[in-house]
Amino acid sequence: MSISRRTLVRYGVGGALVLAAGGTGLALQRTTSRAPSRPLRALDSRSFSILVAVADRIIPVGGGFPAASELQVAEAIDELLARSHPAVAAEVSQVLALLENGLAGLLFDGRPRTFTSLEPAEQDAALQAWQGSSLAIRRTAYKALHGLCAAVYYASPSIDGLVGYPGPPDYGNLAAPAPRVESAGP
Amino acid sequence: MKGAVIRTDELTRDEEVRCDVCVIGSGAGGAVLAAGLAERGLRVVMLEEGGHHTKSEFDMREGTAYPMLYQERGMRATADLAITILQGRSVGGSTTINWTTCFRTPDSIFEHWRRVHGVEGLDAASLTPHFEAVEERLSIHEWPLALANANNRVLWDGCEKLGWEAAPLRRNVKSCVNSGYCGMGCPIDAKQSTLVTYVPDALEAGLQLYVHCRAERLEVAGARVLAIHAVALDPISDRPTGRRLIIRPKVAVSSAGAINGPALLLRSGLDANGRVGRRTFLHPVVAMAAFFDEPVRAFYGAPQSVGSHHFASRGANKIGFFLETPPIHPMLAATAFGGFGRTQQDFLRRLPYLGVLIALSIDGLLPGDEGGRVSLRRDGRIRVDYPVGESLVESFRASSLAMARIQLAAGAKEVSSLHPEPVILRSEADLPRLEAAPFGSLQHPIFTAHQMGGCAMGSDPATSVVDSTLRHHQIHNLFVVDGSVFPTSLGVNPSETIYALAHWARDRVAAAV
Repeated sequence: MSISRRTLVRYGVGGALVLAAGGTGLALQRTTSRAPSRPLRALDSRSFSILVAVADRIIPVGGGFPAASELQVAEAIDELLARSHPAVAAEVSQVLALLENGLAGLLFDGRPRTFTSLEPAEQDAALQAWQGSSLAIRRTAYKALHGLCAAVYYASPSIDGLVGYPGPPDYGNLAAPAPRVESAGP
Repeated sequence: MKGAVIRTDELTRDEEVRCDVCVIGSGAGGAVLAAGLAERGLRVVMLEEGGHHTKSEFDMREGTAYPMLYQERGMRATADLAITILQGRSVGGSTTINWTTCFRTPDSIFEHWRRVHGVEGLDAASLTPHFEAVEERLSIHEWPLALANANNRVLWDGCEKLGWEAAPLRRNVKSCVNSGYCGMGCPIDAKQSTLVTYVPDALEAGLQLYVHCRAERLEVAGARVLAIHAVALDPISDRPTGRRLIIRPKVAVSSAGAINGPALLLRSGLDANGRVGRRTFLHPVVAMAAFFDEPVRAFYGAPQSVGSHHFASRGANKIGFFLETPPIHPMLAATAFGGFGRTQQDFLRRLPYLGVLIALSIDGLLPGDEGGRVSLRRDGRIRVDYPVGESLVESFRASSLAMARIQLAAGAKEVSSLHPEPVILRSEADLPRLEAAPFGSLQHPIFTAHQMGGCAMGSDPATSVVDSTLRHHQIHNLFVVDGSVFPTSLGVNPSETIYALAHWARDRVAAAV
């Protein structure tokens, strides 16, 4: 989680301009608000709302997979950030603001529209444009958001069954013989 | 038990402590050293930034383990996020969460260090008694091939079919039940980490171990460390509680690892003319996934029991690599496979059928391969940069091709790269497409579990930070005892080299008191 100004400098003027456009020029656009299920500890409500929208696209509902918002992924990320150096939350907020403000809208209709106001398919395209961007800074930003959302979502025990993971063995009664793991050959 | 574990966060007033030796860090280096010093009757204080977490807290859930037992809550990475850095942070350091693979240092590495980096008096012969001692204490022994899980069988069978070298690995375990959760803290204390061996030995001999205690800086005057200034950390927020600890030791030892150790020296104004934090090596890791018809269940069973060094030496101008396997649990798999949306879900849905191989590139041996750099950010955080150069890109590509061939030879129905748009291979005829894929920084996931260098040892103060006895060239009562003293990477998993080096360093540090 390290999109420092110095990093931007290293990535060159292109990256810095992108941040400037996202961070200042279009900051007055309205963000579609999402209410957290518990008081926020690290993120502000705007960053939280953007994060909810991002998480729901990185891990879309369907095929048995619950929505990221159902698993309160954004709340868990807020909690994780509250237990980290304050600069980490600031950087994540910066990345979210960059995504929200204009970039995505400019990509599609040449007009600044916020990420949270886009249709799901447009949101997907915006995120994937970052993932495959020729600008390393955007790939870094995507990786930060994807990493946080995927880690929190797939660490949830309620996902185990959906990915065929039986979960950890029960060592509650160590007097009993420990389970021997079968070694199925490929 | 004569010693004690002290919760620094629970101190009600600032403290000043005098002792013979203060060891910063409780991992493979610090714990082995501290036990030996305490057993010699010295008054030893140890500082550990993380908590004293034990098996009852190891619930085998990734969501518990990574935030509790890893650096930066499991989020440590290079500044550009291209390389995920898996590194431990609790009593036991990385030994609490490593995957147990143990190797003695290759002779060729000692020879390289002597020839290129001027390391004196350190070779296989001088370290043999120390390897033997730590192997005995940590129960390091070969893991039977019959107990290898299917993921490791892929590596074994594939190499056998291709005529490539592979060998069973040695592990530091006792009464291991092959559960597969080494990376989340062993729930039954089968892993012989320093958490359950050398730290208890040291406590038995009188160690005072302060946990949730971050060493902020060394106070230096002339050629001596006068004091170590430390702060108590709140275990929940990880932020300073306001309580301070000042340790006044006769000898100070940094065993804080190859990232936090150099950062401590830098915070103390000890940059050794710019050499501290330079030449940081990571054994950068790339991975290949493969799906099989039969379940692999790589979430269970010893994570690593087979390794291959077939490609460790690839000629004068190429970076070598070695091959091993990871455990595959949902979160780590989801982080590694950065595919978008439904693509990622479809990939992870086949988790039980998934096998993964990893290739660890042996960095720092080629002339001009300077690895990465540890530095400080203005806000106090540590910054790690690691440029991925052309030689490393070549190694990533070559190792990915080798892994794909092994997986196909072992019967994989589908081999997949971890690119955002994966290259899928069903036979060797598909290899050219993998060869043409982009490799490098932020093109695919890169990991490191082995952090080395940054405080290199050597005879010449112009090119190294500590001498061949691990004593700082300029600060006479300061030693560095951990993987940061390696002048290069090792080409094998580093824990046993650090254990043995620390065991060897006991007499040297004791003599300096």
